[in-house]
Amino acid sequence: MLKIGRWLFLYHIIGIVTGLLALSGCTTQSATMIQQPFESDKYRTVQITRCVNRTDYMGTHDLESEATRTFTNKVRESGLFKIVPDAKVVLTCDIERFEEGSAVKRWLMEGGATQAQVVVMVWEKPDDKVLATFRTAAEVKTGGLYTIGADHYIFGAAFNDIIKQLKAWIKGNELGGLRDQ
Amino acid sequence: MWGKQWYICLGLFLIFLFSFIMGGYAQEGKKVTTGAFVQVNRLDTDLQKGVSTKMDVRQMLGAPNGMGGAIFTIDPKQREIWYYENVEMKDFKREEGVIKVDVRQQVLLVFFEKGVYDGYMWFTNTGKAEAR
Repeated sequence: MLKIGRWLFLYHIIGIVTGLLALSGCTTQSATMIQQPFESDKYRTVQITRCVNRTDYMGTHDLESEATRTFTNKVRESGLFKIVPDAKVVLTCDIERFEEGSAVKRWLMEGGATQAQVVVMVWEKPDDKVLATFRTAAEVKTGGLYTIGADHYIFGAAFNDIIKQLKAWIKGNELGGLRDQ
Repeated sequence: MWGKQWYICLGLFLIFLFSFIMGGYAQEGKKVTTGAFVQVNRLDTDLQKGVSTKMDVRQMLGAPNGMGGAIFTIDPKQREIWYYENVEMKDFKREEGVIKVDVRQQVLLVFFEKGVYDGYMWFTNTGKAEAR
């Protein structure tokens, strides 16, 4: 009984440490371009178009599907906008960089960083007026074996940063610079 | 029996380690870029002056790296500009402690007048750099 208790305690400690190390290894770098201030009465419903892959990535990930799903979920969870198919405000998304990386390489030697760079543009129809552009580059380059699976959560980290930038735009602030997550 | 397994494991680990070290050396000569660059050769065929919208340009070229404006002395109509850039490290070598790099830079300016596509300007240059 005592042994099981010890194992459970150790299991939890390992989980917490792993989680902290995994998160500490992820950094994001943001760039925001605001063309129009946010108008709360006009810009509360949005439509999200499918993310476009601009990279020359040839691996196994379906980047467009993964990014579109992650971005849509993050916008929905944030509660910032209501997603409506024919809304006048359109959020477009482009994947500009994706490197799968390798936790083993990060552990054994330098390199092997997992990277994703995405850009979200906010448009107003019918004139296709650009309201704002949010770009972010997320990277996991430290953490070794604790960061196994970073290629699966890197889009989540990138779009979390996009949501932060959207929130700042809504509040009337402008974000930028390098932040740790 | 246990000793034989231990040697097999050690051998596999050494093969694994060797492949990663060789992977590290293979980085030399690898192409490094700030991102896949826009297809400039399609600008003349896929975009129409006075017709294509900003959304058309974004569909084709992606989101710009910057935005700005211009007024030229010979034609003082105000134009909006979308800026695209790409820096590509085409090759790098280490020779006697010196890192030699071949770099290619491209800059593309896309002009809009009253919100529609009005033309473009494209530059490319190559250069060599050394780091000691």
